[in-house]
Amino acid sequence: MSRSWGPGMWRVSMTDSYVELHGRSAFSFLEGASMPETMAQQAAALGMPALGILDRDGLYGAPRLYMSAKKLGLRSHIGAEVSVREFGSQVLPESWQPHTIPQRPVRLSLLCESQAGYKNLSQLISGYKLQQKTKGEGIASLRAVRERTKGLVCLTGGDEGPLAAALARGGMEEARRVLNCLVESFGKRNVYVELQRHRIREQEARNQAAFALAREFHLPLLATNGANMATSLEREILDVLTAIRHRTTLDEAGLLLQQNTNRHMQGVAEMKNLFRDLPFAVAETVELSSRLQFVMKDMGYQFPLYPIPEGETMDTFLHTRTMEGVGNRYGCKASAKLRKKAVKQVEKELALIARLGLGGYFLIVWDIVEFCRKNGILVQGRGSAANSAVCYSLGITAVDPVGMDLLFERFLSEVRGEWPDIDLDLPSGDDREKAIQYVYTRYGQLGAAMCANVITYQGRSAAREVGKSLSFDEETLTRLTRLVGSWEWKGPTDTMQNQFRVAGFDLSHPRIAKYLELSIRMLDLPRHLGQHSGGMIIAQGQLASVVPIEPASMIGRNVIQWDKEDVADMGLIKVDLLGLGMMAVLKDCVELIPQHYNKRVDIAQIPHDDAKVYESLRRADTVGLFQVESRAQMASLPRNNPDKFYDLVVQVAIIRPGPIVGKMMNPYMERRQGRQEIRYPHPLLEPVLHRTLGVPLFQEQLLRIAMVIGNFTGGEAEELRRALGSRRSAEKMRALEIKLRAGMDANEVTPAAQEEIVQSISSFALYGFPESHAASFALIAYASAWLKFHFLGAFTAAILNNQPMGFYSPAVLVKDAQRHGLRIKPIDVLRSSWSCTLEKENDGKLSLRLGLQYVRGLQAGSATELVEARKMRPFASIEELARRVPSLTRADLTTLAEIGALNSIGEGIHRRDALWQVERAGRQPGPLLASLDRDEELSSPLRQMEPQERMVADYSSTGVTVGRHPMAHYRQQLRAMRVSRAGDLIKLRHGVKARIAGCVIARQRPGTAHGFIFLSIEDETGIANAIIDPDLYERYRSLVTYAKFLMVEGALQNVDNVIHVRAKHVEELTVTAASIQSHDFH
Amino acid sequence: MRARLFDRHCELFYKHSEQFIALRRSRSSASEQSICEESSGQGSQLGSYARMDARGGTVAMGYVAIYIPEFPSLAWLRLNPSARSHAVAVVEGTAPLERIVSFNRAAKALGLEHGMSKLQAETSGRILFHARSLDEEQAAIDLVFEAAEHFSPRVQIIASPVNAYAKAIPFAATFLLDQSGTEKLFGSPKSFAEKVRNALRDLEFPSSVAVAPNAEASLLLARSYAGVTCVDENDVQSKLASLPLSMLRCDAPTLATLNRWGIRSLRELTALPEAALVSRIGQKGRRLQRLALGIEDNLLVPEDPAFVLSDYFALDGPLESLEPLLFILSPMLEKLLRQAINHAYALRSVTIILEIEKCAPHQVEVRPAVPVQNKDLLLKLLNLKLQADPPRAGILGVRLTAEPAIPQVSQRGLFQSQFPEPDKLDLLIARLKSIVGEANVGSARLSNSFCDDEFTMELFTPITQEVLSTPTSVCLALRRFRPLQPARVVFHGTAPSLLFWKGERLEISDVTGPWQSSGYWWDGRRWEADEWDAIVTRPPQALRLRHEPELGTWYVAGQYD
Repeated sequence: MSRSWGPGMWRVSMTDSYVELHGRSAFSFLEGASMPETMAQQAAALGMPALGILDRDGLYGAPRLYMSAKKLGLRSHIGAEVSVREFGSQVLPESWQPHTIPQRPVRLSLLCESQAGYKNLSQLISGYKLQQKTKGEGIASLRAVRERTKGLVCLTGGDEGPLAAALARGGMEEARRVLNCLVESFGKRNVYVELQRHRIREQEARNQAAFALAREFHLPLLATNGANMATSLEREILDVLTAIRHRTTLDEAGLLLQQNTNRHMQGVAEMKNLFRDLPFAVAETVELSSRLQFVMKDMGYQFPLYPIPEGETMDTFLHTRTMEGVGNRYGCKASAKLRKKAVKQVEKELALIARLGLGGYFLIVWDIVEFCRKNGILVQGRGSAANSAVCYSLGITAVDPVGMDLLFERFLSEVRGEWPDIDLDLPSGDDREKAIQYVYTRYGQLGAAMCANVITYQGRSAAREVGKSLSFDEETLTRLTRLVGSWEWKGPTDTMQNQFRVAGFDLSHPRIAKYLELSIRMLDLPRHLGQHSGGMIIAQGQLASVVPIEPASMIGRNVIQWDKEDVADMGLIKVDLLGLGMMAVLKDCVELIPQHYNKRVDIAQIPHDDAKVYESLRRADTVGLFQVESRAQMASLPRNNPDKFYDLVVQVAIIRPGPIVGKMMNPYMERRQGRQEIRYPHPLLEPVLHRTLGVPLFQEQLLRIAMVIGNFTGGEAEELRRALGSRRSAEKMRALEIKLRAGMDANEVTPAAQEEIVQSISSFALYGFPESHAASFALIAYASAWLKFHFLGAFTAAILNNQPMGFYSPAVLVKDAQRHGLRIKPIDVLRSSWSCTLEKENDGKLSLRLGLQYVRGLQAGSATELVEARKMRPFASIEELARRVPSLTRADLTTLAEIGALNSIGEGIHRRDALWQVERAGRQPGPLLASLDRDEELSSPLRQMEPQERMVADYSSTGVTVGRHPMAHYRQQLRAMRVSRAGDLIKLRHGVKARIAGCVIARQRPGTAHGFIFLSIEDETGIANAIIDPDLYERYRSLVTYAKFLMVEGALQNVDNVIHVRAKHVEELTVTAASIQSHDFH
Repeated sequence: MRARLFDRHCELFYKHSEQFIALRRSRSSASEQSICEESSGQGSQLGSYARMDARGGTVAMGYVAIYIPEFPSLAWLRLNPSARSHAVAVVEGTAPLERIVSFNRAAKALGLEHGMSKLQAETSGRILFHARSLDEEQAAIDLVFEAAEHFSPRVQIIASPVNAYAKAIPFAATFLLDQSGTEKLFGSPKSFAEKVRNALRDLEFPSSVAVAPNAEASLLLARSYAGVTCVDENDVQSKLASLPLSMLRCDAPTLATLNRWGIRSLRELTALPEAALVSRIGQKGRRLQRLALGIEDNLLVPEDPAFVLSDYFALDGPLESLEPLLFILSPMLEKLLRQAINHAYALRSVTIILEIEKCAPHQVEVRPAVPVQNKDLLLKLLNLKLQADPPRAGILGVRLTAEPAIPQVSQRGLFQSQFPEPDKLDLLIARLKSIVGEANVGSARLSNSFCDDEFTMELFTPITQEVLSTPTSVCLALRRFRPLQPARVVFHGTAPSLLFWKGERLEISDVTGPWQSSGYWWDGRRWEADEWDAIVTRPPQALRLRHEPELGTWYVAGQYD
C-alpha cells in the first residue's frame, strides 16, 4: 500500500485488510472484558493478520497475546496506554449532565516498533510505577515520556487520549498545542491521529476535528475500534467490571457504563463500512502493522553472568566449585567406588551444562545457597534439581543422586531446550525474606523482582462482586458465597446453579438468572496482580527493560507484570525461593534443643535408621509431621509399613493423584505386605522397578522404562513425559507413543505389557513426583518425625510458633502433644513470651508454655512491652499491669483475664476474679471520690468458671485449650449414647456398627476420590476417620460442610490397622459454641 | 377516632366510678412523679407503688403490660380468618430478597426463623406468605388500643410499627396500662389481667398479660411469661429473679461483660454489690439491677387523643356537578379551619374523599407550599384539583379531613425584592396541573444515564445557587417532542431517505447516524435506540429520528432549531 498527499486529501492504494491496533484486554484490570487469548482468537476469526493490545499502564497481557497469536498465525503488536500528568484529565461529559465519572489522567497510546521501543516502554512504565510508595496505577511525567520515545509509535487515542481531552478543554487551539507537543516528542513519522467510531455523536464531532487537524499537521489518520471486548456479548461483563472498578452498582453507575455495544473487535468489512468516507484510515492500519517489527521473543533478556575472577571462565569456575563440593560430599564417608561414579557423573553433567551455557545460572543459585549457609539459614533444593550431582556437590540439594541412582535427564537434557528449574526451600518468615533481600541487593531493584501471580475471579469472588454490582445486600451475598464450595472434587451438584438454589435464590427470577449467568461468565477473568509465592526473576542488566516492574503491596518488594506461566513462555529464568513452614520449624528446633536439652543437633547428620521413629511412622502417629500427616497419608502408613528411609521416599510420593489414578498404590501396598507376587511388565524392567516392587511410582522410572524398553534417549524420554503429561500437543504425543511402541515391539514386549506401560506413563506423567523431589521431601519428613519423637517439647514449641502451617490447627497439635505426654501450660502474663517457650519442671521434665501470640487481638508490640515491663519487676496487681503496660487495651486485659493469663497475679485468683478486677482497672475514682471507694472488697462476688466455661473461653480467645478436650466433658452422656472413643475403635471388629463423635478437625474431598468426603474427627483419645459417600453428603450437605461437632454412625472398617467408619448417618452435636477451626477443602 | 373513643370511655367511667373523676383531675393537676415523691420513704426506695388519692388516702398502683408476639402475622390473620389453620408467614422487602419477619405457630413448627429468606422458607413446607402491610398493622394496633381503653383510660403504646416494634426482633406489640382504681369495675388485678387477655383473645390477638406494681417489671414479666402473670410488691422480685439475663434489654457490650462474669439470671445480677457494679459498668449497671429487682421507675405516658380535623356530609341524592359541591365544601372547610385556628394551627393539607355512586371513593388532596389559614385559597385549590381530576359518577357523600401544622411566619428584609406570595404560586401550579396533569409540573432533572431523554420531575425548589453562565460556544438547540411522534421511514441503501410524518411525505436530503445507545440490560427496563439526524428540504428543517429496533418503531424525537 502507498500513501501520497494531494491538494487537501490523501490518495492511497487500498488493501482488503484491517488490523485492530488499539485493543484493550482484561489485563487492563476491570477496563477490558476479554482475555488476550480470546481477542486473538476473535482477530483470527475476523481474518486480521495481526492484533495490537494496549493495556492500561502495563504489559500484563503481552506474553499471552504473543503466545496465542503465534499459535494462530497472527502477528502481535505490543504496547500500552501510559497515563501522563501534563495532558490533564480525560474528557468528561458536559457540565449540565449529571454523572459520577471521576477525573482520570489522559493516557497516551504507545505501540512498540522495535526492541528499543519495547525496552523504552517497559522502562518508562517501571519508572513511574516504582515511583509510587504503594501499589497503585501511577502516572508518568511528560519529561519521562520524552526521554523514552525511541522506537515507539504514538496514537492520539480515543476518549482516554490527549486529543479528545484537549478538544474538550480548549477546542482546536488546545488540540493543536497538544498535537504539536506529541509531534515534537515522538517525531512526525511516529504520531498517528486515531479515529474511533462507536456511533456516538460527541465522538464523531471529535473525529471531524481530528480529521481537520491531521490534514493541517500532515499526519496520517488511523482507524481503530478501541476494542475492549472480543464480541459485543461481553458488554455486560464490561459494565459489571466498570461497576466493580468504581465501587458502585449498575443502577448507580450511569454514564460510567458503555453507551452501546460497539466497542468490540470488528472485521475489515465492518470497519470499511464504518469508515467508508475515510478508507485510507482503515488501510493505514495495515501499513502501520507492517512497520511494527517488534516481536516478543526479541525482548533482549539475558540471565545475569556470575562475576568470576580474572582468568577464569564461567565453566571453569563452576568446575572448580563443583569439584570442591564433590570432595566434601563424597570425601570421607563415601566409598571409592561411589566417589569415582560421582566424579564421572559430575563431569558428564558439567559438560552438558557448559554445552548449554548454563554455568552462570548454577553459579547464581550456588551464590544464594552460599549466602544462606553463611548466614545460618537452612536451605534445601527441591524438585528435579535433586537429580543433579552438580547441585548436590554445590550444596544446593541434600539428596545424593549418585548414591540413590537418580536419573539426571529428568533435570536437564539437551533435547528439551529449556532452562532447568531449581527451587530452593527456605524457612518461611524472616530467613526467606533475608534471602530475597539479598537477591535484590545483589542485582539491584531494577535487576530483580518477584514473579507476579494474576488473581482471577473464582466462584466466591465472582458471585460476591457481581452480586454487589447488581445491588444485592451484603447479608445475601455472604449467605451465597458461604455456600460456594471450594472442594477439590466437584460433583454434579457442585455447580454454581445448585449453590444459588441452595442459598435460596429463585433461578426463574430474571435478575437472579442474570446474576448467575454473569457470575459464571466472570470466572477466570483477571482481578488484580498478586505476588507469586517465591519466584524471583533476575536479569543481566536491567530487568525493567524486559518486563515492567511495579511495587507489590508488601513493603520492600517489587513484582514484574507477568505471572509464572508467562515467565516460562517468555523464557525468563525463575529462581524459586519458597518458604517452607517445616524448614522454619527445623531451624527453631535446632536453636531450642541446645538451650533446653543440652544437646546439639545437625539436621544433615540425623541418623536415618532410628527404629523407634519408623515404628511411630508405622503407627501413623504423624500429626504435625511434614508431608505424611494428612488423613490419606495416615491411612496408608500402616499398610506401607516403612522401616527404612527409602520407604519414606515412597510414602511421600505414593499419595499423589498420579499413582492413585494410575492404580499403582494398591498393587504396591499389596506387594509390600507380601500378599501379591512381585512381577515386572518385562524382564528388562526389573532393574528399573526393583526398588518399587515392580510398580512404577516415580517420574524417573517412567523415563528409564522408555529408555530401556522403548530405546529412547534420556532427553527423548523426558520429552515423552512432558508430552504425555501436558496433553498439549496431541500430534507430538502420538508420534512419541508410536516410537515408544516401536521400541517395545523391538524389545518383544507383549501387547498387554505395552498397554500397562503406556497407561502407567500417561497416568502420572504430570501428577507424579520425581524420585529426587520425593527424596528431598522425605529428608524433611524424616527430620520432623525424628525431632518429634526425640524432642517433642522443642518440636511442638517450634511448630506452634510457625503457624499457620501444615494440615492441623494448633488446637489439634496441642492435644496430640498432650496425648504424647507433654505438659502444656496455659498463657500466663508473668511467664509467657510472645512465642511458645519451654520451661523446666521440678521433676526435670520439660513443659511447654503457650505464647502470647495465641491471644486473639493482642498486638505483638503490646506483648513486647509487657515482657519488657515484666523483666524490670513482676506485676503485683492487675491495676499495676494496666498502668505499666499502657498499650494493653481493656479488650486485651479482658481477654487475658478470660483465658486465665492473669490468675498468677495475686493469691488464689480465678478467671472471674481477674475479669472483675480488669473492669475496675484504670477506672479509679479521682481524689474527690476516693473516700467512697475504700469500702470495696478485694475479692469478687463472681463464681468461678465451670470447666466447660473455661474451655469455651480458651477456644474463643486463643483457639487452643490446655484443659480437657471438649468431648471429655460429655463422655458420660456420649457413653450412654453408645458412642465409642477414637482410641477404642481398634478394639472393635471389622464390620460392626460403630458410632463416633467429636470435633471435626479436617474435611477433605480429594479430586481422586469420586466425590467421597473424608472427615477427621477428634476426641480426647485421638483422631477417628469417617467416610461420607456422595449420597449421604447430598442429604447432610450443610452439616458435613460446616458442623463443628459431629456424631457419625456406620460400619467400622478395620483393614491392616487402618480404621474408618463408613457413615450411614450423621448428626450434629451441640457441644460448645466456641469457634473451633477445621482444616477444610483440600 | 381515638378522640371519640376516649370520650366515650370517659363517659362510661364517669357513669360508673367517682374514682375516675378524681383520677382525671389528679392527672390534669399534678404529675404522677410529684405524687410519688410525696408518698412514703419506702416508695422512694422501692419505686412508686402507691400514691395519694383525691381524698388523701393511698391507692394501690398497678401496671398491666400486654405483650402480643408475632404481631404482623396476627394483624394479617385477623383479616383472613381462613388462613389461620395454615402455616403463615409475613414477609418484608422486595422480590427476590424478601425476608420473613413474622409467622405463626404452625410455620414455626416447620422450622421458620426470623430473617430467613422467603425462598429458603418455601423449601420448609407449605406456607402461606403475605407481604407486610404497615397500614394493616397500624389498624390492628388501633384495635388493640381501643380494646385496652375499655379497661383503662391511661394506656401507653410501648412497641408498635411506629417505633418499629421498639427495634426488637421478633416484632411484638406491647402496651402498658394503668390498672389502679379499676377494682370496682374489673375486680382484682388478676381478674383485670384475665379480662384484658380474654378481650384480646376475642379479637384474635393471643397475648401475655402481666400485672405488677412497677411498670418496667410488668413489661419484663409480660415478655417473659406466657398467659397471665400477677405479682404484688412482695413477690415481684422473686418472680423476676429466675428470669435469664437475656430477657433484660440492654446494649450488647454490657450483656457480653455480664455473660463473661457468669451472670446468667436476674437473681445473680441483683446479688452484685451496687457500688462495685456502678464503678465497673457505670450507671447502666444500677439501672439494670433496679430493673432486675422490679423497682426501676418508668412513668406511664398515656397516648394523647389525637387532634383530628375531619367532617362529613351525606347527600340525599347524587350530586352530578362540581359547582354545588363547592357550596357544601365551603362551610365544611370553614369549620375545620376555625377548629385549627382555635388551636393556633394552620392547615398543611386538605383531603377530600367523595363517596361515589357504584364506584370506589374518589380522593384528592391539596398541599399548599406553606401551611395556610386562608379558606378561599384552599377552596380554589380544591376546585382546581377537582377540575383536573373530576369524579366519574354522582357524589353521595363528602368527607373532608385536614392535617394541622404550625403556621409559617417569616420576616422579610426591608430592601428585599418582592417575589410572588407562596399562595399565589400554589394557585398557579394548581392551575397548571389541572391543565397538563399532575406528573407534568415541576422541575425536570436529567438522570445519570445514556438514555438521554430520561428525567425525573421534582417539585419546584428555590434556586440558591447562582444561575450558570451561558455557554461560550453556540450550541445547536433541540426541541424534543414529548411524547415521541410516530413516523414512518423509508430507507435508501443504509440510510433513511423518506419520512412520513404528520401525514406528510418529507424527503430527506442529508442524514447522519445511526447514533446508537442501549442500557439497563440487567433488569426489566432494558432499552435500545438508534438515532439519526436528518435534514428535510421542504419545508427546510433538521429533525432527530429515533428507531427502536426491538419494536421496529420509528419516531420523530425532536427538531433542531
